Amino acid sequence: MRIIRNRYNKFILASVLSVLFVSCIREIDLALRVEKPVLVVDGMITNEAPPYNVKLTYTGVYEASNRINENQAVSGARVSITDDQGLKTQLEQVLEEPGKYQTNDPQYWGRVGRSYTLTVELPNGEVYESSPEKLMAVPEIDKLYSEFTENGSGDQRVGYNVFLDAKDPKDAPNYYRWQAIGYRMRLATGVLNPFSGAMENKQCWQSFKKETIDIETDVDFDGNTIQKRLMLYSPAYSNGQYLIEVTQMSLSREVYQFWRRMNEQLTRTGSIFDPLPSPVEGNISLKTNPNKLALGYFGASAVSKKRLIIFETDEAKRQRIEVSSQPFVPTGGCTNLFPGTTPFKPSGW
Amino acid sequence: MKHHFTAFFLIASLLCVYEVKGQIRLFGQIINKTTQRPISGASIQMLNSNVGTTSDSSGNYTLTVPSTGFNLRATAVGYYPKMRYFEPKKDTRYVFELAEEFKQLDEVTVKTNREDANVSSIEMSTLKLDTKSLRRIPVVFGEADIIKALLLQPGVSTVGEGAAGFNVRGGRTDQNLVLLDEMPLFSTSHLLGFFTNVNPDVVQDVTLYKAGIPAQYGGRLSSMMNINLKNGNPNKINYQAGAGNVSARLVAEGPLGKKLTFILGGRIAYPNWMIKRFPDNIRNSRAFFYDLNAKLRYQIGKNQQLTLSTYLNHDDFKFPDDTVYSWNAKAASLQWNAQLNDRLSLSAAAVYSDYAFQMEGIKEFYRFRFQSGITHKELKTNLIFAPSEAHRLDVGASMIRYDVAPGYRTRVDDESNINPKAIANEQAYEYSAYVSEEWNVARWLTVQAGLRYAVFALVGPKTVYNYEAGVPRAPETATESTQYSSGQKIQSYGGFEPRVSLRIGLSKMHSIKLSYNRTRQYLHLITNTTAISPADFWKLSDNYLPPQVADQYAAGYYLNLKDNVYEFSVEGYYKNISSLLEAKNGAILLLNPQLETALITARGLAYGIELSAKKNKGQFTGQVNYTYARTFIQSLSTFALEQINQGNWFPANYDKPHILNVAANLTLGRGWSMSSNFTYNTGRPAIYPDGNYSVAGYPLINYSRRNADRIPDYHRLDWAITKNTRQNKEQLRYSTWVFSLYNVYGRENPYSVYFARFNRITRAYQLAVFGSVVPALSWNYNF
Repeated sequence: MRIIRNRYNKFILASVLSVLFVSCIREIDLALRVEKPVLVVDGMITNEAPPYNVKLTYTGVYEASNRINENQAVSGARVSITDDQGLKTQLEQVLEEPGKYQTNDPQYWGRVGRSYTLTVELPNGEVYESSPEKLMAVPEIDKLYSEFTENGSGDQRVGYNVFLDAKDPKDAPNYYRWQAIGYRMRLATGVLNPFSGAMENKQCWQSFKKETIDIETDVDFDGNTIQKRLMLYSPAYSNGQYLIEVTQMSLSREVYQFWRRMNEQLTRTGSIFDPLPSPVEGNISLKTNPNKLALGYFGASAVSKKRLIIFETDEAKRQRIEVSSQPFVPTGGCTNLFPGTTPFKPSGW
Repeated sequence: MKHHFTAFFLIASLLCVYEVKGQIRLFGQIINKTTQRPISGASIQMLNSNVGTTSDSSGNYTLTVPSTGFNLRATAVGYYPKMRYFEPKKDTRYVFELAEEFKQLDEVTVKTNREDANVSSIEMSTLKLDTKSLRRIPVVFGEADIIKALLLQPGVSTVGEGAAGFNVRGGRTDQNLVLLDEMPLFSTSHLLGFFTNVNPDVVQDVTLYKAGIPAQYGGRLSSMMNINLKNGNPNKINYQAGAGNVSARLVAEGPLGKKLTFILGGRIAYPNWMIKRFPDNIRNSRAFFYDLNAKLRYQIGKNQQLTLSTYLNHDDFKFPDDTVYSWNAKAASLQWNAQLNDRLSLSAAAVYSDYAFQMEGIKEFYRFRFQSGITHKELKTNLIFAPSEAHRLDVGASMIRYDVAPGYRTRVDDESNINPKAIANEQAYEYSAYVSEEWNVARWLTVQAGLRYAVFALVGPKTVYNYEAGVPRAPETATESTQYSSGQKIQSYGGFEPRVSLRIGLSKMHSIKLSYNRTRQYLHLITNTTAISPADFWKLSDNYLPPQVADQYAAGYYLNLKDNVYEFSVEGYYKNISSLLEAKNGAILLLNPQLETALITARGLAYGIELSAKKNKGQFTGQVNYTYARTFIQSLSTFALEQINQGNWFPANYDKPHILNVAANLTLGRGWSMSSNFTYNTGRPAIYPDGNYSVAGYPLINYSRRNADRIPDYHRLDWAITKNTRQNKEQLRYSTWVFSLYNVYGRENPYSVYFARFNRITRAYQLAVFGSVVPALSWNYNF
């Protein structure tokens, strides 16, 4: 279904552009309304080891051409998670990160089949509660594999498409969300440590994440194979291997719909054929007035992960060198030369 | 001018009493001298008196006249008037033969059949389109277009440039009954909505009822558009060919023997040469459309006709390596008309109309084919009884069978990962009967009262789900299902639809008209976008989705001046709509087997005032139309997550309070003429962001209210020059050239305003469909 919808949006965009050879797009200034701030909840529990995080903020005033106002964090709230057997854990505020609350009971794990409810008591006395979220099982990832491609653009012209195969269980409806992250190693001459006399900071790791929201319902392929689903495009710039880690998560129907609405908002093209924008409300409402909804969601997901290491082929290497702008090892500290990198080897490298 | 407005407030003093001496009947027919075809809507007027009438659809007229001598004048638009002296001693039959008037150029695009119909006819809120002069209206890409011409009139609007469908007085696009020779059309668009899918070359006339919809017609809430196709020329075969930027056209018509005539018209488009000029990813797109009309008319004896009309259209659009979209319509109608005697005429018709939409996925591993559609089959009959000049009684009945395929998807090959899925077809019957009486109570008072009763029955086979009470309807809250067998009644709805119109003539020059209409609609176009999109599909009313019902009240004042050269009107309306359907936030509509879980009901409210001033005759003609109109919607749900705009009233997507249209035409002589349009309207409502936040690292925007903002206003000027090489009526081969400029001053009118994010910063953008002037050349050749 979603496949059709996506195609459909693209179709509309393309046709609107193509039929109208003089259409044009221009940036404009708009006077925007100012509305009261609304509570935003962003949290989930998984079957992986704790801690679990919940972030509480208020919406900021919308200003075109502006970043999100970071001063909207909610502090001093009382936050707890309760399961369907009455087991409850309190979340503590993380002082270094405003608005972030974290479980601190290492024994409180998310379990498949249980339902979890989030309760938030705001400093002003308002109590918001999520609907009970059932933590559903998720199948294992069968296979991750990559294909070399030259269809990228710019300095990312050559690289690898990473695909996933998995078997969808034929049972109740399954809802999925995928995340993917890739790492590559960068090399530099390093800097001299005057005490040890060794060159340090010679290697570092750069990560690249899947930016899009990737969710799916099995309504179109229940019990079939999830086949050759693109997880990530990993551009090839440097020598050696690439490490890819893919996370496959289960979602409840309500949270899947929340992500779908959120994705719909993030991918809208602005054409008149877009579905009408609406608040991305989720499963959290004011306890005393269920008509008042918070933005965001609280989810419960089972997680399965798989890693893939890509070794460069000769053909890929030849292609890469043709486009690479930095064929030689540069002089200096690796993390200094490549911003956003870490000197710590990712697990699984 | 001032005098006439004063007169308006002094109604009583101006009411005249007319008296007719003698009791002799003068009756007969008004026909075209060359073709011997009847002329409907022709006017017969006794000179120096107020006695007069209009010919009916078969050209017949009846008058009660004095036995003293008098002059009668017969007039019809497009014909030379004819006058004759009578001194009847008994009931007399006389046939007026009117010669076709040859005017190099018709002055106006939209005109009523009778020169004074604005004031004298009972009809109100009615727009008539004369297709002869349609070509001179400057339009985008030079494609003459019926709906684009109607958009210049008060009370008709569209959500945006190039959007499919039209909105009439706060009605949705699916609330218009469009009849092409009685064949209902379920889509009116070519190329997503840039063009209307009816070829204007084969159209005789178009009438749009915004209110006062005759009791004969029902099934749609807001308007009725009646498109009559031309009859073939009975004397000789002739042809008309034409070409423009986007399409080529051909019409052939003529006699086939003594009693049979035909007309055949087709249009074929070649938009691809335009698409090829685009960047790579768009250049490989393909678009195509055609339409075909054919009509046969057989004359049985003197008083009977049998007509067969057929219509075919096709559109497709291919997105490279991805999906092919196509939609088709096929329709036919067989009509029989008989003039049983001077007072009685009978007609019967069998109608078939089919609309199908198809989407084909051509991507590897995901190949599929999706189809949806609707079929309408109808039998109807209609009797007109006009016992005297004062009365006209219409009685009729109809039976419709609907077959709706809301959608099914099939796998194209074994490699495909797409599962086949089908939503069960729906079928229903709609029976209706009506009676309508038009009574000329006095010369100054006419009453038209109609009553229509319709019954709708949804029948099996179908599976109907029941839902848990007290929670929003969702697939998970379904408790059990009931299986209905083929033909078994599942749900029925019905009700009376009263239609009342009243005309009070204040004098020959001005009148007041009032009307009330109730309409019911059992079909719904399911959509969650601002405009019609090709993937929208039709759905019948069922247990959960009741029929939409509208009540409209309208009142107007009409004034004609200087022998009908100037025409003025003011109309106001108020409309209540119940049981509108709205999509829930983020709902999946397509291929949803439990569509009732994705929809909620809403109610609507529309009101407005329409002002119109026209100059109908002379070298310079034109019109100014202004509309103030509002339309509001309120969602009706008891559940917070389902409510739209927190359950408060919000403006409809097509709510445009101020609309101004100005059209002017100047005849220059020697076959040259020039025309120009100016249009202005308030920007349509939009949903702008009013909050900023982030979830899971994604920056998001909050839209807490529906349609609380508006895109910038729209205005545009168009200009066209026309050259007609025909010098006299005897010239059979001639060309018409139209050069037009659309959007003369190149305004970037916003089509939509949207917000896009680059590097986590959101900016506002506007998309203009036409950002510059669009020139076009169109050519028509008659031979």
